[in-house]
Amino acid sequence: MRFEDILTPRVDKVQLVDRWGAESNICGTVHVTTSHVIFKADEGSREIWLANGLIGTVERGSLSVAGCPLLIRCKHFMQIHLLINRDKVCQELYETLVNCSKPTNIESVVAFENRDQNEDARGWKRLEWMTEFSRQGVSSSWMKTDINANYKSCDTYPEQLWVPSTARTPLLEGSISFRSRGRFPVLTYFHRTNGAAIARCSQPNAGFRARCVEDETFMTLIGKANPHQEIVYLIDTRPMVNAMVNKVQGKGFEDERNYANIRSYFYDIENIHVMRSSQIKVVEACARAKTMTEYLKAIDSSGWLKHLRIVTECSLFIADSIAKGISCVIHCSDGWDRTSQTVSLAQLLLDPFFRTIHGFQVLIEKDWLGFGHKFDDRCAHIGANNEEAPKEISPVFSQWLDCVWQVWRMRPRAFQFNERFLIELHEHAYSCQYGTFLGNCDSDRKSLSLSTRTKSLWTHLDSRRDDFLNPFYEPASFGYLLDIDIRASSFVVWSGLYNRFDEGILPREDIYNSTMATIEHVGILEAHVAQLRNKLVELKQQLGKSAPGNASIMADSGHGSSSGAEGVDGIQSPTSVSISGFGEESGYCEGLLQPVALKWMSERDATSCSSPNCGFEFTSRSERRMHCYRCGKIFCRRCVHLTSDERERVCNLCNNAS
Amino acid sequence: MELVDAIEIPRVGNVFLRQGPRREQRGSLILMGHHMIFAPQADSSNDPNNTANKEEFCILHRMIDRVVSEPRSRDPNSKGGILTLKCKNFMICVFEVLELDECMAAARTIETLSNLNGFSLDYPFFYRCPFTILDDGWRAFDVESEFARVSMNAPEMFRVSEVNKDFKVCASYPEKVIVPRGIGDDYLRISATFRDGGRFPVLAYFHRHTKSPIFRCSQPLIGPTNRRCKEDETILNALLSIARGIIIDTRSKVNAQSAKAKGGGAETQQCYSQWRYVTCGTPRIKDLHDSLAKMVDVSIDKSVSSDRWLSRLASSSWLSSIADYLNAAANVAQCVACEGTQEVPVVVHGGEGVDSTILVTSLAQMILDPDARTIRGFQSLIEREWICGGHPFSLRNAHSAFAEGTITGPYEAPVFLAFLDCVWQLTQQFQHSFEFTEGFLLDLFEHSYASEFGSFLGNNEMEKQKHQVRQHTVSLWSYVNNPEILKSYVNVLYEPNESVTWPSVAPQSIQVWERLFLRWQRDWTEVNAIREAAVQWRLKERQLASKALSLRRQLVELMKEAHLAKTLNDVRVAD
Repeated sequence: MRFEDILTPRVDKVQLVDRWGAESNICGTVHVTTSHVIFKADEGSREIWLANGLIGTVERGSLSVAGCPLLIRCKHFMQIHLLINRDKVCQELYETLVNCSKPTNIESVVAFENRDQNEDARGWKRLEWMTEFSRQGVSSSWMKTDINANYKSCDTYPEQLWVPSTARTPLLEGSISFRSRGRFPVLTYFHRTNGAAIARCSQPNAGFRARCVEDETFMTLIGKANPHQEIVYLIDTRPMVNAMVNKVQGKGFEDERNYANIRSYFYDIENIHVMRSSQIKVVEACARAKTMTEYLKAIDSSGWLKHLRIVTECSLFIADSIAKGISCVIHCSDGWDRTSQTVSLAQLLLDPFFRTIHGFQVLIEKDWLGFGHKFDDRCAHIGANNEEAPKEISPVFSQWLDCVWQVWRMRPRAFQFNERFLIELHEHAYSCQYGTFLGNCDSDRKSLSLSTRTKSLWTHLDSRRDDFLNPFYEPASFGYLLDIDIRASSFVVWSGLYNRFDEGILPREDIYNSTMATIEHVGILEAHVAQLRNKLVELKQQLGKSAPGNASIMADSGHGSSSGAEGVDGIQSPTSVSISGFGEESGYCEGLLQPVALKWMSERDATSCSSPNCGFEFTSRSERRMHCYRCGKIFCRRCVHLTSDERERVCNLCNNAS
Repeated sequence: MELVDAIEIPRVGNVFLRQGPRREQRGSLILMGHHMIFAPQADSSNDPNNTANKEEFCILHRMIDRVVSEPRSRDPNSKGGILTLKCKNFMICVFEVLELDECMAAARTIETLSNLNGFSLDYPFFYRCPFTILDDGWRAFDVESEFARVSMNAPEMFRVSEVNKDFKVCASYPEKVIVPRGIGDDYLRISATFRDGGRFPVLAYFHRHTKSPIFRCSQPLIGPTNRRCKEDETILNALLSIARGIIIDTRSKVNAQSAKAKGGGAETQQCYSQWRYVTCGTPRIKDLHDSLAKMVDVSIDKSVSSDRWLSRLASSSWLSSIADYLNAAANVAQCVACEGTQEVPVVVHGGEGVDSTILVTSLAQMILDPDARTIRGFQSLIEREWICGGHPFSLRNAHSAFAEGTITGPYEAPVFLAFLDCVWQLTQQFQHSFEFTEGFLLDLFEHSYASEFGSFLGNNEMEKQKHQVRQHTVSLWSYVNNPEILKSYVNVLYEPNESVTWPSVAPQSIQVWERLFLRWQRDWTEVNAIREAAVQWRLKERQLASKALSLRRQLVELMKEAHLAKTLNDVRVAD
């Protein structure tokens, strides 16, 4: 974002309109910087920070008595309605915002302004192809090939590729020339248990008659690389009709008669244009529908849930075939949209590693970034001036995250991460604040030198790892997730994402957040109880009552953690365990111990930061509420920090008090 | 009639359970007066892991909504039959029976026993309570104690009237009701003649902070001739102090107007000038019944395609009904809790005042009243508003979603279930604000259709008295409040909270109650495990907190002691 594109860096007396009409307008100031658009209320603490990359479309209405309306629709589904006094100012702000939302050059996005030299390089090394394939336990029937060194064979693939070890270079070259954009079948997942593998590619240039002996042989070799089953399932994720249309253009699909060892399957996953308009409709329904009937009809006619189900169904088929020991080759047209979706979702269903926070990042690096999903084009990072650009936009990655969320919702204990993690990923796929999702393919990223010029999203996520932990994760309990229920009734609208900024609509109390807080609190209390016990023993010794007193404390402690009676007490009436409120009972440890809050404030009442100087209002449910260990109240991230020994998180007030 | 006479075949041997509450299994059916028992065959495989399914399960005949028996195939030579039992809790059991004759006989028996007229032969009258009743549910909640609760905060506003002694004034009200203090029984009697079914205005809820009461009644019998009733107007006006009151009609404007032609109607502006009349349309009971049938139909359809699922969900309008009720209740709650600073009395009625009226007033209390969100308070609410308040359970819950044909009439409607669904929506939005679990709501749903307890028998207090239900049956609350049972209904994640649970009534927030509608289709291991883990952590947190508290106290004591010892020592040294 160039500074000269900002016509109006500051607009005063802007009114922020509550979309649901429940609250009165808030008067404030809009600041436009090269990285963010900021709304700051004149009175009160309301603030909205919007990364420029997240601006989707800007619409302005006609001037009325109230002012000139301006609507900003964001890519993370926030909608900002503003009213501006003067028409001219509104027009200027409008143009500024449009400029902000559509940089003409990828190198002018915010990510490149992060010139912080202290970048931790680990984020940029999330995926090492060699490490990942040896983790998968790739057998000797597959080998690494350098055929794509310097991206010379296929500019949208990574440099390192794995192919059957029996395949010689001429064979590969033959296949490359026969596949659309040179995206020939390569290994992406090897299933150690039975030697079956998932390979991905693009459609063949088959047309009605064309054949390619090398490609056919290559497919046989993929079959032979599997020690137990030579048959390969060839999954074309497109509807049969679309595949036929491609045939007319000289592309299409493999003829089973020419390939000795394949069985073809078609899945009706629609193309990027259908998905684009489908998501627009579902977002519109979530944002606008006023009555139940209207809402359900709109969701229905968007077809979004149907699409999610088909993608999941196809992925489940792939995963199921692999689990049964049958290798699969998957393609769509170019092999970077639907193929990425199904291939990566299938791996998520198969391999528990990909359900960890780290593994999920590796999965994205591999099947989305590595194999060339066009994030620049699909997420509209840059507003190119040609007419084709809008047609390239499509929420393929969002849709995949939605599918992951649906599976997550069915088997929450199988995932290390929580819903917030997926929402955060969704936001940053668009935000352009980090370099991770910039560029259309691996070679793009290399030529932009992103790893030295921008920050990696993974480094940022690493620093906030606690925010993304799922309290119910059971690492050892889940292997394959092949028994998920994919009936239509299992797929629901992800309101956590689409209504993310509609405070009133989402559940006020959430079991994931509260349990995570409980677990944290339990850890602190355990340490506190241990400390108290030590102190007691110490004191008793001083008073010369060591032996008997000591024993009684120990006996006491034995009851404390295992006694059934105490548990039942707790069950029967939670009210009866009246633990004193915030800050009371602190007389016990005057100068002896750090105060520790026995009761933590519940998130229900926490609509804003407890710090009187801050009062920051949480703008979404997914924003993390942080408890101060000492007073137990909830603060925003800015108002708490770790103590120097990194043992405690305290608020400024408690910190100053000590 | 003796129940034994209806049993054509006491036992059907060698049947195969193809679908039901558990996996497929062979066994036999035993038909008794009130139950049908499925006894699994002694296991021949000797599989030691297969212990869970050795137990029999039984279904109350009353729980069965619809019986279908048909030949196993069209082939005339095959003899077998298929017996399908569709239950009121949406469970479907399918048995394969070897002989078609036996299958038909069993079907006829169950059909008869599940559709007995009246309820004097019902199971609650025969049920022997296996536990000692510590807390008699029939005595736990009465008008007097509710009145005491109300008058603590409003000593001069209300009184208990016995105008309905022997149910002379209103058949569907209890004998004692709470009415405005300044109103004599004669006025109530006259007002009763002007209100549908004699349901004159009575107190449903009193908000202790804003001092706004919620009253409920039935529609006024204005009729095509524009009748008016000065006494009725006086009763309502007695509620007013400064601000105008609000009358909320749970019918749509059109329905309220068309009721006039049939003798009913709504309060007019001329006669009730100090009241604002508002309509908050909720579905008619007949529509609600159809809605449920469609909803259940689509939920049990295992092969429903993505294309049809949402459109059938929409066309069932079950979710829109739930949204309508929540919206009406939130409106009532808003009038009571927020409207200005002055107290604003609210009167709620629909047509007869026994269905949506009760639903809306009780749901508004769930939103407003922290007590109603406890287990005990919720029981009290159901007892007061629904059972004593005269919701006709026997009529409404005679059948649920599957029954059709002559065994059903125009009176069935899942109004109480809709209420439970609305409460469930609240519990989903506020997972830590309700003392009871989802399981409690589901059990209430089942008991309201078929039960060993007498709480939901009859249509009102008058019928209960006539059949001596209180004397001869056990109250559901006696069972629920048994400490052992109560434990299983407690939501450990509950945090008592005084504030109002304002629900979101936006369509984006209303969800399908999966545990109700998809209960027999889905595996619940995951949901249960999550819940259990959250509960365990919460218990641990509480134990540690109370442990820390007691240790702190010991520490303080010891420090005092140490301090004392030190002082003594100092004194001694000084000496």
